[in-house]
Amino acid sequence: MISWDFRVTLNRAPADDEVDALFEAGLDDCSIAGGPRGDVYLTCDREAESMLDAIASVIAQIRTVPGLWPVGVGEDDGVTLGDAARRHGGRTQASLRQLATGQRGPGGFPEPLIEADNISIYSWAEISEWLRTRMGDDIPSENPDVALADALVKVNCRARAAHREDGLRHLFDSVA
Amino acid sequence: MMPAAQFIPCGGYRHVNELGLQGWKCRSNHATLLQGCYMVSRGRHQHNEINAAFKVIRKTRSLTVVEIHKGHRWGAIECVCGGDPYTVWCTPRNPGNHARGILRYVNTHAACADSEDGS
Repeated sequence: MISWDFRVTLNRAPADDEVDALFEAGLDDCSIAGGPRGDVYLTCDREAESMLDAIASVIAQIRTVPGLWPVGVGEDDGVTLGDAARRHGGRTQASLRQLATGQRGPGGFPEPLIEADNISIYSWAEISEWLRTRMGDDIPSENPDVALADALVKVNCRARAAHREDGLRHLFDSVA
Repeated sequence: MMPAAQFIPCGGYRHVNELGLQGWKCRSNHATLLQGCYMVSRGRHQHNEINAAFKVIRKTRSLTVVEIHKGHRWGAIECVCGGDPYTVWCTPRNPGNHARGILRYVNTHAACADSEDGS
């Protein structure tokens, strides 16, 4: 099974008991963190058949904790070469490692931002730009599954604010 | 009966329940000792991948590792920017992925000290 990495932004920071409730709901493969702009999110590494399955299972577990719900879905810029290969879809981790070490390709692969023992974190923005310009790879600017999930979560938030969640569910069932 | 003011060092990987030390206090005042948690020396997580990530954090000016030992939390990584701290679990499902998550947080917050200095 593939491990998918993504982040789910929460409506607010969880209290101490809610942090434990999230862990016990099965989110022991996610961590709670905050950004410099005050947003609070879960960084997730979820094993699933597909990215959409992974996001759906995380959201279902968040919803088991009363008072918490997702307000957005996105991706981190920091990636390992394994993460980058999954986001790319057309290259393996070994292929990216060969490009990074200069065994193949024109050289000049972006340097890792952080290295700790055997884990190296690269910038996905830098890697994807390098692969587009130097290798001619066709990489979409954003993951379509993540963009879809984000759009759906945001529509649901609007429906929640307008007390139209049941109406939205009915509409979604009719359209889908 | 257990003496009221007995202290023991909590270093090492031994289970306090097996040692019959429930209810004793450790010198570092680790609350989890009372719950029968596997303890390692202060400042160290029981997974080496996570300790490797902590080494990077200790070299990063904007970030601090704080031990909490409360519920499922081993601790947190705090940033000078005041953003919500990164939760470090005692028993993450996959320690390697958890360490990667910590390093992503480091990547996001590494420049916060510079922006605090500049403001």
